[in-house]
Amino acid sequence: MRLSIEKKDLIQHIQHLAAIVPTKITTPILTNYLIEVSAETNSIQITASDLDITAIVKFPAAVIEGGTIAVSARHLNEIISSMPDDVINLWKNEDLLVIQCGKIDFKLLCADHTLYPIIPVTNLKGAIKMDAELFQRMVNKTSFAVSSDTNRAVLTGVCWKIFENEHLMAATDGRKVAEIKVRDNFMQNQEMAKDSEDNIFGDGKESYVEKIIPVKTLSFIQKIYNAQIKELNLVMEHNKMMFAYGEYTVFTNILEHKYPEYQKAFVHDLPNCLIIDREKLKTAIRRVALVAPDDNLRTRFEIDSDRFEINTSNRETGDAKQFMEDYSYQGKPTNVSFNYKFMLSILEAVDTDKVKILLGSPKDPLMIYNEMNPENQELTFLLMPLRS
Amino acid sequence: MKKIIHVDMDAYFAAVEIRENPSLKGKCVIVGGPPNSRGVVSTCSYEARKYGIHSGMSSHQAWKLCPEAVFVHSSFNIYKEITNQIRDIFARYTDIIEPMSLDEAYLDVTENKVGIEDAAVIARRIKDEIFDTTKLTCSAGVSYNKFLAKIGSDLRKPDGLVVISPENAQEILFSLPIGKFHGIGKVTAARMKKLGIHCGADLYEWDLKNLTKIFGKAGQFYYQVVRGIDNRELITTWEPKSISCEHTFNTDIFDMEDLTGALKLISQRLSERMIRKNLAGNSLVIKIKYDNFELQTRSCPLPEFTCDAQTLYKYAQQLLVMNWDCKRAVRLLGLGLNKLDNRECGSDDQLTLL
Repeated sequence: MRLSIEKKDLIQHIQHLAAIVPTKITTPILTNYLIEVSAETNSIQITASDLDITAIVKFPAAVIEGGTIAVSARHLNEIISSMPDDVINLWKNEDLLVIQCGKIDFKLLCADHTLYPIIPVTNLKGAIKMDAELFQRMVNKTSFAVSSDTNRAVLTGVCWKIFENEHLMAATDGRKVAEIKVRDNFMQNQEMAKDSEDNIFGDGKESYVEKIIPVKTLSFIQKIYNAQIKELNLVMEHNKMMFAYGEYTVFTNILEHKYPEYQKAFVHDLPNCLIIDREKLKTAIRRVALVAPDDNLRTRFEIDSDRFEINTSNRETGDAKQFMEDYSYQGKPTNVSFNYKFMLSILEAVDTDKVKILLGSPKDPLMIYNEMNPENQELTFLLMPLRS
Repeated sequence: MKKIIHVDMDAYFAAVEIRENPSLKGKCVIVGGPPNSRGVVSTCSYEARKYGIHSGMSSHQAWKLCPEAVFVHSSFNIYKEITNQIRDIFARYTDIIEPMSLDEAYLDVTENKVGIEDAAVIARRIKDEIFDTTKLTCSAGVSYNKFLAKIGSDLRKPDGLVVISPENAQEILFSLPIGKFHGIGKVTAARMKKLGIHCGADLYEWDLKNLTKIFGKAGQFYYQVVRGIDNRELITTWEPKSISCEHTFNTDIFDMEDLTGALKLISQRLSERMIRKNLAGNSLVIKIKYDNFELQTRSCPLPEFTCDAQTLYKYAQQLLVMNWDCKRAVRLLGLGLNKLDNRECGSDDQLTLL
């Protein structure tokens, strides 16, 4: 194996792959990249995998001689990013990968590449084509709300539910919900016939498909998003998915559970409605929360039509309050306590300059919306309050 | 120099049972599970000890050794009540009390509330007051550190009072059989005997270097105590590191539903204990003992500090399903919470939607 490549070309393609390499080492070979170099296609293909997710990137390089190696992912990333902006030569010398750039020489010990798990074959037959920007937007609006509790695996993924004329993504950790619904019949425009064997709606009994995609997979796709590349191809199998995007291919297991019925928690008839500038609200919450209690991050709205106070009180540090101006409020006086970090994460995901917050009693959830929804889209956020 | 008293009630639970039911007097009384159960001996009267019965032994084995023994269920509420009476007596003399269990405690009487110089006099008075109040006897050891006080209380049981002064300490330690050293268990004692260490005098011959080489950190402890050196302070406040509950089944269990049923009850009991102690934990441990006594423990983090029975059960069930080797029958199931925090349960105020 022998090839030459510009440093910036190489680093650009491997910088995100590192996120796939497992941190908990259960299978030592997975701490390596599998690097396959082909002289016929003049390309290099690098694979990282944690068994649940396998990410592959394939891009052009000046190949003199083909070959396959496995080499420490962390070291390769660190070595390549430390190199000057110049051409890097890589070749295999017995058990060593030589990385040479100008007067710099590294020799990296190779692992036994035959131990690397078998990589699935990229087959785009029957792939669903989707607008990459829309997919990216849907992930951006929801993935922050996933749970990190590995005991409830199903909540560590984002639920993607596809109906015939609309589809939605949703995530929740039981304390907050983020959902984006898009009216789009992209499924009908697909090449595959609805009644073919590959029909993702299965045998026609179900009117929708539900796939729970691990958040790790989605963050990787977020990282490799490139506004220049418009089309995202995806293939769904019952417990796996494949994403093909530009030079990248991602195979991922999906979480095989029934996603909880979070919609039941949505309250549609909350009596009070607050509309306020989103940036001003964020700034005020951040400021007041400087002294919020560390354990539950409790911050509180006290509101009626002529007074809106954001406050917090902390037995150990002190308290803070701010009166808000320039807001519109319709409804009865009420108050509600919430975890300010959750609130900020939701306000971050809202698109419009002004945010619409519906409130009820101190025990009711807060329903948070864009002031105006974009065409054909509906964003819904829910925040469960803190017991007052 | 400090003045420490170690007070140890004589055959405590058995003595209490005899006091409550005088017809048991002079008989082999065994407090613990009945012999046809899987219970163990918790305490037994001195009469029963003559048959070789000791606490921790299985009730069945005890019954074989002494078939005429009277088995009595433990009545913890009475024991606790009496223990409180005894601690009230201690408190008249000093506030520096380290309770080791219901029936034993260390007292530091270097500075005491009654202004008595001689710790032996205090010990005498405590013994008398305990007997007047509870009609129970205890043994007391008086010395200048915890280790020697403990040795002292053990030396002349029952109803003993032994003073170990710096002058006679070494002599007592030299003649003490190695198994009687507090902190040297059965296993270590056996190892020491193999090395030719049978009593304190033998242990004294060993230098620090060799002791630590063989016994590690404990070697240093052995080196010091055999010289009568023990600088441990009394620990008067004590914070639990973990709280647990377990259940031994009457017959080994093979059935998942029975196990989860038991787990539910254990979760509830654990939760009740946590609430009573005003504690919450965020690391759950399951303990599974198989029919061959092999013990398996596994833990998982909890998403937040909790003591809620429902939550505990939910995670405990997952732990059980993931870790139970379903080809094997289960003898005992236990649940514990670690990483305790002194917050009220439910101070995690976050409401949830699922």
